[in-house]
Amino acid sequence: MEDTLVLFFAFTMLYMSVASRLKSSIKMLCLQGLLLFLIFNQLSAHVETFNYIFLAFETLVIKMLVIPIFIWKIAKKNETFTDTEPSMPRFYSLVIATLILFFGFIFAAISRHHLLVTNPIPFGISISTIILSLFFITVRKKILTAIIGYIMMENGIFLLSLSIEKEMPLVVNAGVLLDLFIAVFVLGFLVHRIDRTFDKDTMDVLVQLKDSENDD
Amino acid sequence: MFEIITDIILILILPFLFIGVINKTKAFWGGRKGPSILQSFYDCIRLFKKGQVISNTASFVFCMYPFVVLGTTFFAALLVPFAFSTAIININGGFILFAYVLGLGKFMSLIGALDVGSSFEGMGASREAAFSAMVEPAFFIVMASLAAMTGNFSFGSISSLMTHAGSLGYLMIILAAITFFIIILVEGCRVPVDDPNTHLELTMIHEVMILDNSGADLAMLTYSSALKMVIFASLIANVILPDDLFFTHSLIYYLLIVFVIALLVGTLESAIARLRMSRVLDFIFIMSSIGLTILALVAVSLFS
Repeated sequence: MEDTLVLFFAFTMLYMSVASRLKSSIKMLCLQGLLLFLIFNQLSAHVETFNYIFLAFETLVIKMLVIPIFIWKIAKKNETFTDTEPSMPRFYSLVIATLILFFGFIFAAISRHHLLVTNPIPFGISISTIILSLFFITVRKKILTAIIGYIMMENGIFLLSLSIEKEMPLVVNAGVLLDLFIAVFVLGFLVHRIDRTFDKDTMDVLVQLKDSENDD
Repeated sequence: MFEIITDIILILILPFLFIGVINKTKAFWGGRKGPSILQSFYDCIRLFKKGQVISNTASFVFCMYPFVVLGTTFFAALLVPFAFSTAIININGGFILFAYVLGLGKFMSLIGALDVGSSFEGMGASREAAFSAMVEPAFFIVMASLAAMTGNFSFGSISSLMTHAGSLGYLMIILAAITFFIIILVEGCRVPVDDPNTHLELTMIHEVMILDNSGADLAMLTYSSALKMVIFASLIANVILPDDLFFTHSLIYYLLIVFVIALLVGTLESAIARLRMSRVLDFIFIMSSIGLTILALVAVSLFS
């Protein structure tokens, strides 16, 4: 069952590699949150109650609801609904995403015998997700899609932690979540400020940033 | 012997019923009564009775290609198991021959469309060539993965998948069925890849290629297109059904699956719009993505 869920997770990554509408990407983030909860539910049979509640809250409330809703609100505020000009055509993104996921699976197959990994398929897919999200951040121009890429990377790290150990230490999980929270909120507010200053919310405008003359 | 006769009857009749069910489903979702389920059969009879109009620029290629397309599609159908787990012509490496026989038919239909000298049909041929080029690798990846899993390089490998694939078998079956379903949409020129009802210049793919065909030629091409859909629907049925069913059970389940696929195609056509031309390649490439996933699952299950 967990293999099926991980496969679904991999397909959400494929979908996001071709999605041009921000709303589709945000919906996929919600779905990833739900899938991560179900995967964690399948993989971790004997988790302490407090840890279970924390992880359920992290996946179902924060990853599935809070962060996607926050990003959608920023998108609506800035009237950014599509990422129209990625630096690479979407078809090539899909081809590259497919190849990265494929090698993730192959890595999973190899790791089964050569590495001490408890769950090889989630392990391979999590590595692919992390690489794919870095690729996303590089090729997409809008700052909001870069934030989505960053959250996807965090989802990949979460999956990685599930695949290596039966139970991730609570403090590590809390640390990663805090890091994500701060990054998303700071970037969220930054997007609004950049949009107001440059009338554009693409990464290209960031090269124009410089120290104010008054600082000299 | 009885199985061979049943398969041949299915090859002859099922394409018309398949199109009939799709049209009925579309009519149902559109709130209409719709044409008879055998309407495509009556259309074929009507077309056979009609004369033909052939362009002045067309050569013998244009006159010959509908026969080649029909012949190759019919031969491809003989290589595929229909209601039973073995095909009429069951040979080792059958799926490679199958792909190349269909490829020959496709090539002839492309040069047939180019032969009339219309730039409009040339545009359709170019689109069809691009999309077909994406379908073939996906088909090979899926079939090669299933063959590697079962150790059988004939089409029988897909029927015995359930018994060989182990715990990942169900996943492979679902993914293979999805791939073949997308191939049905591409090869049958259905929504969201193409719209068989459209005659709008910018969006036509297959329809524009057969624009100059009339009479018996058009009937043959229409039948071939429907037969191709039934062939891939049969592949789905064979992926899902185990290979040890009794004759009548096998036939009933097979027909049920094929008609459910026709219902799904009709529902999909009623529910969604066709894709923008620039997004069609993305959609078709998804098949290769799924195919590579099946291959990867095979690798995972072989290493374990």
